[in-house]
Amino acid sequence: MKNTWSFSIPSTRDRIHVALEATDAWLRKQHFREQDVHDVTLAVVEAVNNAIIHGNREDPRKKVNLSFSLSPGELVVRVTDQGKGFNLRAVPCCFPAHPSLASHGRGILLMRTLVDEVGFEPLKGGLRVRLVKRRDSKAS
Amino acid sequence: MIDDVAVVQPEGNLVGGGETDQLELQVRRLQDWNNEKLVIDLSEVSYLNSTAMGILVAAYTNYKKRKAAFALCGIDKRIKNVFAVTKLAMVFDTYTTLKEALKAMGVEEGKEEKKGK
Repeated sequence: MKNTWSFSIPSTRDRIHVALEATDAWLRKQHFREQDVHDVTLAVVEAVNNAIIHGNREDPRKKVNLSFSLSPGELVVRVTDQGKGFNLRAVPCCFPAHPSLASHGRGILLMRTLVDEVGFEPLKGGLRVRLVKRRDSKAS
Repeated sequence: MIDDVAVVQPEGNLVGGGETDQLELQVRRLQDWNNEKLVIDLSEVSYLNSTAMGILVAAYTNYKKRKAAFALCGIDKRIKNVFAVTKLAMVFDTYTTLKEALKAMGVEEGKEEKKGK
């Protein structure tokens, strides 16, 4: 049986903390381990940040939708914006061997490190990021 | 300030909202004043995202260029894990406590108690 949940926030940076607190609290309620709560919440926050800033260009009339779907084996989170998308080919696959001193460009790489799968689905009016975290049955 | 060391102690979640802007503003102001020793105490921070990491990296770069001292302390183990995967753990000077960070910057024992927890 699936446990699903969704909500939307306006595209302003002062709403990022709403997405963070709601995600953190919901994951704790589902008895995720402390490290997994942190990793999934941070990945969601990175996706929400991108959706607000790069996707919806901080237009408060545009929404960012978050939906959560938890089955016994995995959690799937979808973060959807109403923007024009971006060139995914410009994003490197993983962190370089040596630390980068650039002040930007870590968000998507971080998402890829924190969860098991990250997918990008261009829509007619926006972009959907799909984050998958597999769940260790012993931890449930 | 503790002796000549500026201590910045952000609270809450540094994830691209107002707290992150506040940190950036505080650090920029110190750089404008040519501050030469800065410790950022992260002991009250639970989440730190890529935007905040960018601010820390920019601060590190600025202090290093000026041959000034920059350190982080009080880092939660979950944030340490994020620093490890982004390789930033290899960049920053980090200390477990504010007391240790201040000692490394030459503050005499006892003086940090005015500010430290």
